[in-house]
Amino acid sequence: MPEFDAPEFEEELSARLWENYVDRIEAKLNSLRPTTRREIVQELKTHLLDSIQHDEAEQESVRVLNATEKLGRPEEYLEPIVTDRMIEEGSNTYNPLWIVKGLGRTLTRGVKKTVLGLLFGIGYLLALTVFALGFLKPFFPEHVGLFYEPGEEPQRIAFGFLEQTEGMTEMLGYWVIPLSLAVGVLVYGGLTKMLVLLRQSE
Amino acid sequence: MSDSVDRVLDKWEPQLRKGLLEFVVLLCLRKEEHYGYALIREVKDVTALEITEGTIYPLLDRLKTEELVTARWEEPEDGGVPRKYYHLTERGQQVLARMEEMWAQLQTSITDLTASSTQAS
Repeated sequence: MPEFDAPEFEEELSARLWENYVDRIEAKLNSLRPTTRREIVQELKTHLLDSIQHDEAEQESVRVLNATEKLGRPEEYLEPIVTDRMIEEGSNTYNPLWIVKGLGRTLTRGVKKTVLGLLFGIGYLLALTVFALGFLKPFFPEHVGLFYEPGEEPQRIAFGFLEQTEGMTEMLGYWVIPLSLAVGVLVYGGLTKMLVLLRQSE
Repeated sequence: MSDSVDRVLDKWEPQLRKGLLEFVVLLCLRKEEHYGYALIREVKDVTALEITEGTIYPLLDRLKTEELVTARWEEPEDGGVPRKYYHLTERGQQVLARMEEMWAQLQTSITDLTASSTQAS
């Protein structure tokens, strides 16, 4: 991808307007990968240059200002790109950080996306919780596992971290460790796959 | 009364044009490949829509993700500004062909409805 520097302006005000606008673009794209960010910045710089060149205002700074106003607020028009790229990055790499960032941004993009974002958020939290149990078992062997309380009905069955386990029998032993890790990974993978399919269907 | 009619139309018309934006963009790209600035200029000329120019980029990004368009950078030989050109893919051509069919059907339906509602009134 070719790159070019800022154009040479005759007026200092023009240069400042240009820098200020490009800074806003870069700030908005800050959470994206550097290569992605650079490409989008370059494309928008090209757009600005074309717009300035085609503007008929006499004063250079007015042409620059008109170009930035016609292009719009980067904080608004770049939002969909940033959100989509985050979720795409997360669903391609299974990196939870990208997924969380992307889902977080969907919470402001309408009721449907908010509900979906929350549901996926809860799902990922569940996956993380189950996964964590695998690490907690060695430290809290009597409080982590699949517990069963024998006796008269109603009988209690519980899975997870229990504070009170008196009178209850833990049924899995240290098999909880591989089971929790496997289930956590499966749930995480399954949710991410669903996210990919959901994006493809939109 | 004409003021209230104009107010309704002032809301309806931009929504109509915005809804057709993707269709118009694909039509423009079928004519020839474009870079962002030229594309938005043509779209604005065709639709007379006052849209923020930046909104073309999320749309193009999405069309690229959906593999309806591809993009390439071109550096002019005279050392001018490099530009990112968008080109319709084969899949994009197929989707556009289907959109045109749907548009023709919709046009026919609306025309028939307009005619019948005019007769009724």
